[in-house]
Amino acid sequence: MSNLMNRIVPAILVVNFICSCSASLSQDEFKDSRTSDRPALHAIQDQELRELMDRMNGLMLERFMTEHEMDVVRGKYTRQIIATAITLQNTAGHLVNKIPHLNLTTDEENAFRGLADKLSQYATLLKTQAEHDAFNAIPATLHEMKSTCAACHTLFRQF
Amino acid sequence: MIIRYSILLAILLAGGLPNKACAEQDLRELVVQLTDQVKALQSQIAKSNARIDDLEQKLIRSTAEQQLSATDAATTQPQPDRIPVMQSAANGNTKAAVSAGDIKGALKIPGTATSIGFGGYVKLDTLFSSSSVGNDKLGNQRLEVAEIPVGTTPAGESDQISMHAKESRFWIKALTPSQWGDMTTYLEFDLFGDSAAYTYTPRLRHAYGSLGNLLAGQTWSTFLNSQAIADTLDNSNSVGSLLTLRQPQIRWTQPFSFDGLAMEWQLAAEAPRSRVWDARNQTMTTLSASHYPDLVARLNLNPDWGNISLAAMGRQLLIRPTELNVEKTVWGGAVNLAGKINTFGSDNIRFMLGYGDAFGRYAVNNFFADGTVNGSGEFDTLVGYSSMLAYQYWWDKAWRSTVAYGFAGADQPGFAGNANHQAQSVHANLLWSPFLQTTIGLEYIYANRELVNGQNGELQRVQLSTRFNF
Repeated sequence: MSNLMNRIVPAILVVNFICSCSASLSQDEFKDSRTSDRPALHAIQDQELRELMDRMNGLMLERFMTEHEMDVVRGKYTRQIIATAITLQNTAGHLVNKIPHLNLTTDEENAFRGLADKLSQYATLLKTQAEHDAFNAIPATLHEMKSTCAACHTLFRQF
Repeated sequence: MIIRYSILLAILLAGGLPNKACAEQDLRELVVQLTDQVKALQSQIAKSNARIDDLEQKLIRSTAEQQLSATDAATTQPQPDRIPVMQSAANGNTKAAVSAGDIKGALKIPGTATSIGFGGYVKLDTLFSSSSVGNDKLGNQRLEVAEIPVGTTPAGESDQISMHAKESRFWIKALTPSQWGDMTTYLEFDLFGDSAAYTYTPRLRHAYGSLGNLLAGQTWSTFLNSQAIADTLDNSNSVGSLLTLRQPQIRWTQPFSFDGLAMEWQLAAEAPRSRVWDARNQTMTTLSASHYPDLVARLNLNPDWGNISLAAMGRQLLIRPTELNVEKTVWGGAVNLAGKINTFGSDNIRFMLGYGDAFGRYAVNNFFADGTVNGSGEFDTLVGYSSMLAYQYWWDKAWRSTVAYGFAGADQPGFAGNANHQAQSVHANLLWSPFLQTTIGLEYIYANRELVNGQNGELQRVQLSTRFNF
């Protein structure tokens, strides 16, 4: 009995130690990104897009500008949305380049890549909607982008 | 042995206690499992949607077959009269569907390249005023600083309440692309055509067309930057907002960019009008005839953070004293700096600064003259100045507030004893738009007016307004 205990207990200890180390390693991998106070570029661009949509919606509340004057300002905001969407596309592409530096498992890599690709697709959709003046569809696209960001942050970055 | 195993047990427990790293690992595994489940659900939803599409297509085909059967049955019956029947959709001749226009809120006229849209709003204003400005006066329906009673002369009852829907508005717009640029037309009306309290007469606000960079018709004066007008419930807006002047004009707008910054310059010739205070008979004369239009040049900057404009105006004032049967003219000018600057989120600052010696009728509605004639019959311009500053703050997406201060003054000559010397106003509101087509709000307005002879008067008002767009 004592011999069995002499073998089992150390084995249990080793296994326990390995689990603790791997968990703490995982914790350390993301430590820098978690504790950094600097917002990521894609978060800045997402905020810019929301502000632009709010300003565009605010035009409907104006009483003194003519409809054509509002169309001109709307066009200006549309061009800004398109430019920001293009920038967000590029930023989402750069996210994928970070994968080798994150020491993720295969499943985690696939999940990260999938979410980054999804963000890029929504940015492309946003650009297309703005180019075709489909303003009513833009809030839904921004909502989907927000959900994608939340899913990725839940999995890979604690805020 | 017991001690050894106790120590080992303590180490085991220390390593195996639910620590943060193990809990995090479990959480990650749970998230991965949930992700797999979501993927499975998404696949199931896609299959269900495909099945629904298939059923819808079958329903459409079935309905079409039934309609054709009904038509065949009708045509086989003996017709009592040989009446020619027009082609209809039931026989397979489909008409072009109406499609969205090339501008927001517009439909394309079938068979043409013209997009046409219409809209407007219905607005009710309820005004609680500290004093009436007189019976059937516009000043009871919106802020008219020129009508604020001064001195001790009562103009009506105090503590007046008035209600009207005169700001209700209807507009129609159209756009047709052409090789010369877009051709646009715009008409807008409200119901401020009569000052009587309960008389609603349509009034033309805008009526213009444009082809490419050329605009012709009645719209905001080129001297006014309409983007800089504060978001007030009051139809007249703040003192210093340049009167919200609309007049007939011809305007050319030329966009260009400088160092990557979008800009444009504008040149306009606008309908002239001279307001002259004659000291000899203490009367104000407004003459619409002149030898030259009012000439306006404006430079617009359109950066991402807002809009800034600098306008300059030159105009000839003219009077025709009847007793002399001659006319007198004098040239004057004015400048205006205005803009809207985004601050935080949707918040913004709006401002206007104006100065000139022919500024009069552009500054405040019916408040200042453009020029004066002294007791010797000498005709001269009148220096005037105005300013407006407003801040719009968004509490959230549905609630917003604007605080606006405005001031206007003129260097009146000493002989113009009863003329207006200066005016100022404050507007502060709280507006609620539960969705974009509706605004309900409350606004406090304070205004005062001072004459050259020192008499002054003030007005306090609380305005409750509702607006429903269509």
